[in-house]
Amino acid sequence: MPKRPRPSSPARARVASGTAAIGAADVPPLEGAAVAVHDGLALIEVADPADLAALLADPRLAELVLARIGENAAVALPQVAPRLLLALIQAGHTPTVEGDP
Amino acid sequence: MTDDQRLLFGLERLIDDDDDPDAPLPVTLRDDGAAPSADRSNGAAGVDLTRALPHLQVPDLQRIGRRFAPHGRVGVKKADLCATIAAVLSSPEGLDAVIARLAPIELELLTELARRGGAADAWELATQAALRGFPAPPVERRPYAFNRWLGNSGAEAYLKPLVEDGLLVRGGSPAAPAGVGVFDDAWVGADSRLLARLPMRRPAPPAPLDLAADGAAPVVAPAAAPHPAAVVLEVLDAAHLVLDLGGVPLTRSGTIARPFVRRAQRERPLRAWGMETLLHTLFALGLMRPPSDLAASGRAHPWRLDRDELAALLRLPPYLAYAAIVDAACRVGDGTLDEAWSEGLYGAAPTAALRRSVFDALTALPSHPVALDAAAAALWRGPLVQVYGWPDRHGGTGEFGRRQPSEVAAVLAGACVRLGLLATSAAPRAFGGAPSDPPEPQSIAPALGARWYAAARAQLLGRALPGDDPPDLGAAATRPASTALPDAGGGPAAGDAPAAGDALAVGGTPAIVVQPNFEVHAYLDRLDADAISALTCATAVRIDLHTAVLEIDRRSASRAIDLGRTVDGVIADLRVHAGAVPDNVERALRDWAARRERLRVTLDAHLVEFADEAARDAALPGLGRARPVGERFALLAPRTKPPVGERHRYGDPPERGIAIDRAGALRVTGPLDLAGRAVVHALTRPGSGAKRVFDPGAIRAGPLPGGWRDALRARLAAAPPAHVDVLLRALSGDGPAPALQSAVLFRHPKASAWAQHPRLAPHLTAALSDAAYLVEPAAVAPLLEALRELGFAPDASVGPAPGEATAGLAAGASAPAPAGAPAAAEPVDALIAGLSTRRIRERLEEAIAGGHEVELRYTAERERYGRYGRTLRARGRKRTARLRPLLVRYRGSIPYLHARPVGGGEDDEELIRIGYIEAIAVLA
Repeated sequence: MPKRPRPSSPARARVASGTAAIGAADVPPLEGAAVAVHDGLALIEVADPADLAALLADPRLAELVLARIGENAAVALPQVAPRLLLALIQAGHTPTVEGDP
Repeated sequence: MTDDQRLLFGLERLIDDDDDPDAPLPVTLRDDGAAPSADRSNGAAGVDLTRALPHLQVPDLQRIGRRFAPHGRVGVKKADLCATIAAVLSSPEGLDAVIARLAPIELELLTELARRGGAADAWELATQAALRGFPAPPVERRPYAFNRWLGNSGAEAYLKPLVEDGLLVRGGSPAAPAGVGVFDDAWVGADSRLLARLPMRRPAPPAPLDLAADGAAPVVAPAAAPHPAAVVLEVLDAAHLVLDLGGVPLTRSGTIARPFVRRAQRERPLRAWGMETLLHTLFALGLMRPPSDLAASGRAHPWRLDRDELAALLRLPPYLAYAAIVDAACRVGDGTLDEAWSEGLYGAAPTAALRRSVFDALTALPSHPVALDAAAAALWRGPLVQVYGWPDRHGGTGEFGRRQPSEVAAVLAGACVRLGLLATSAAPRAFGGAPSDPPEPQSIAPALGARWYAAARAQLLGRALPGDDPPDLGAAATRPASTALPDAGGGPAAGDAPAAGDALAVGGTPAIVVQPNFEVHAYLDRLDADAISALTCATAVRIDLHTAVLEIDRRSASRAIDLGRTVDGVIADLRVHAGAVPDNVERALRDWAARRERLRVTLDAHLVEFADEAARDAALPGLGRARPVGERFALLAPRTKPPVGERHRYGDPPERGIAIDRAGALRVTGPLDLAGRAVVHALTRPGSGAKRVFDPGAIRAGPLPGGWRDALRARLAAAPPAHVDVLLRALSGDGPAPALQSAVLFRHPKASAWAQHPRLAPHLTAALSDAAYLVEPAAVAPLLEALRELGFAPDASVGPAPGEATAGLAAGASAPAPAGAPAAAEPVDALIAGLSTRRIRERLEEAIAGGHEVELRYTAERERYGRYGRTLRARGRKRTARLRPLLVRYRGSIPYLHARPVGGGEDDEELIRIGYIEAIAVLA
C-alpha cells in the first residue's frame, strides 16, 4: 500500500516562507547602510503608545506582528494582513484600513 | 435520423462518473453582456457585418447576397459579392428594402435585439419570440455533426436561418465586437446600420397561458412571498459580512474555500442554509474584486468587496437593484439541478439559460394561484419547448423532443420562490429531494417580486417607450438614491432628497425605527434607495417576509465608515428615515468612530528607514507626500519612487544573512530585514570581532514571544549546528534542559545472551552494549527476584576491579568511566570466566584476606618424571570445587594456590596452578 505523504508541518512552512512573526521586539538602527526600503508591509499605527502596548500584550495579535518600529507603530508581514485585520476586529478593535493589499 | 439516434449522439459528451453533484461549484463572474444595463448601446456600435464577409465562402456569400439584394446581380466572385452586400449596408434605402422583406418572426427578433442595444443572449432572444407566440420554425435537416451551435434546439431553429442570411452575427465571428470570441457562442448581434433602420415599436405582451383557477389547489397567499427589498437586504448583508471577514478566499479550482463558508454560516446562523448561494451571487453581481496576483489563491489572497460596485448597486432604485440580483441569480449554480439538467435531454443549453427563460416566462402566468405542476407543464408546452425542444423538418417538435423536464418545476418552486418572484402554498421543494407519498400538491402565484422584475426588464430592455408612465410600484421602489456623494461628509444634499422628517410623510410611519437597545426595525415596503444605504451602519439579524431586524454595533458602525460615510452622515441618514435617533445610540456611534481613528492599518505600505531621526527629517521634503512614522521611518505615498538603498520585499522569502558557526557564535553576513535585526539584537550580545554570541539570560528572559526561532532559522544561510539548536531550545524553554540521572545496569560479558532468557527478557529491554543493559527502576526488583530463582544472588557491593568494570561497556558506551571511579558492583556467587592469571590471583588474595570461600573451575596439574629425571608437568582433568583458599605461593615465577576443600581436612590440601583456573567465584 503506498505510504500516505506526511502533511507538511505548518512550522516548516513558516520557516520556509519567513512568515513567522516575533512580536514586540524593537528594531535596532541600521548598520552598514544609510537608507533601507521596506516594501509591502502592513503598518499598524496608534494614537497612544499605551494602545500599542495593550495591543501587543494580546497573544492573538502579538504573534501576527513582525516588529515594533516605534512607540506608536508596528509592522506585520503582508501574508498575515488578512488574519491581522480579522484578529483586530475579533479583539474588539475597529481599525481604519487604508491601501489595497 | 431518428429521435433515439439523436439521443444516442446527444451523449457524445463524455460523462464523468466521478462528478459529484454536491461538490462546490466554481464562482461565476458577472457577464456584462448579459446583465441589464441602463446603457442601451451595449454592442450595437461594434457589429459590422462587412468585417466578416472576406472570411466567408462563396456559397455563404451568395446566400447573404440573395437576402440583401434579391433582385440585383449578386455576382459569383467573392469580391463582387462582398461589394454588393457592403453597398446595401451603406444605403439607407437598401436597408429599408431588406427590412420590408423580413418575415414577422425575423422582424420580431431583430426589433427585440435592437431594444436590447444590439446584443443579446441567443436563448433569451428565442424565449422572447416563443413568449410572443412564434413557434420554432422547421429546420432543414443536416448531418447532426454540423448542427452543434445551440444543440440542434428550437433556439437554433429560430436564429440559425438569420445567421446564415447575415441578418444576425454569432459570437466568434469577425464581425462581432472585440472581446466577443469563439467561446461566447450564445452571443448574437446584428449589423448596427441594419438595427438603426428598424422601426421602434412597443413589443406585444407575452401570450398568456391557458391556466384556469384550480379550486382544488391549495390556497396561496401572495403576501407569503419575501418582499423584494428583503432579497436586496440579504445580498447587502452578505456583502457586509464579506467586508467584515476581510474578503472571500478561493481555492485553486475557483471554488469558495469551505472554511470560509463555515465561518460565514456561523456569523449568520439564520441564513446559514443559503449562505453559499448568497456568496456566489456577490460574484455574479460583479461585486468582488480579484487579488492583484490573479494566479494566487487561498486565505492570503482573498477576493475583496468592490466598494465602488456596491455603491453603484445601492444607488439604483430598489426595483432595479432587485432585478440585477435576480439576473445574477440566473448564473448562480444549483449543483443538483445543474447536474440533472446538463445530463438530460436538453443539456446542450446551459442551466442559466433555463432559469432566465423561466423568469422571463413568469409574465405569462395568470395572476391567480395555479397548481405548480400545471404551471410547469403549461410553461413547458407553451414557450419553453419551442426554445429547448428538438424541432423536426415538419415544424414544431417531435414527440421525443417534447418530454417535459422536471427542472422547470424545480426552478419555479426553488429559485423563483426564494427570490420572491412567486408565492407558494408550501415550503420550497428541494430539487432531487424525496417526494412525499402521496406527493403534496403545491400552488404558486405571482408575487410582488414578479411585478418589480417585469417592470425592471421593461425599463432596461427598452420596452418602455419615451413618454410612458413610470412603473406603478410605489414611490419607495422607484426612487433612486440621492445625488449627494457619501464622502461629502453629510447626508442627502439639500433639495435632492427628503429632508428630515419627510420619511414620515407616507402614512405617518417611518421606514426605519431605531430602538434604544441598538436594534433597528425596517419596514421593507417603505425602503427606498437612501433608506437601504442608511442601513449600512447596522448588521441584519433577521430578515422576514416584510420586515427586517438589524443591530447597530461597533463593527457595523466601523463598516459604514469604511464604506465612505462619516459618523455625522450616518446619524443624519438615520434621522431622515427614522425620525429620531436615541441619544445613547448617537453617543455610541460617535464614540466608536472616535476609537476607530485611534488605530490605523495601512496595507502594502512602503517604509523608508534612515539611520536616525535627523537623517529622516532631512530627507523628508524630497520624498514627496511621505509622512514620518516612528523615530526614523517615513511612509511613502502610493506610487512614489523610493530612494536608492537597501531593499527588502516582504512578499518574498527573507534574505539569509545570518550564519552560526560550530562554536555557537553568530555572524551577520548580509543585509537583514526588520525581523532579522530585531532577533539578532534581542538575543545576542557582542562577541569577539564582528561575531556575536547568544545571551542565555536574554533568551531565558523571553524578550520575544513565540516564533523567533522560526524567524531566525528563515534568515540563516545554513542550518545551525544541532548542538546549538538544542541549546537554544533548552534556554528558551521550548525544549527540555539536559539532566543527569542514576541508573541500574545489568552487566555481564554476555549480557545479550542473558537477555534472551525468558525469565529475564521482560526486564532487560534497553541494551547499552552487548555486555550491559539498562534496567528500568520498576524492573529492578522483579529482575533480582528472577535471578535469585535462577540460583544467583547478585551483590551490588562487590564490583569488578577498577578499569575492569567498563570492559563490557566500552563497545557501546558513549563515555568511559572516569579514572579512579569506583567499579560497578558485580553480582556475587557468579563464576566469572575469562580473567587473566593476575586477576584471578588478585581475587584469590582478596578472598584469603576476607576469609571467603571460592568456587573454582580448574584443570588439575599432573606431574611426572621424564627420562632423565626431570619433572614434567601437564594438564590433567577438569574439576569444579568449592575451596577455602589458604595461601598463594610461587614456584619460580608460576603462582600456585594452596587451598583446602570445604569440609575437608589438612590432608586434603590441594596445590592449584592459578594459570589453570578457568573460572572463579568468590563466595559470600
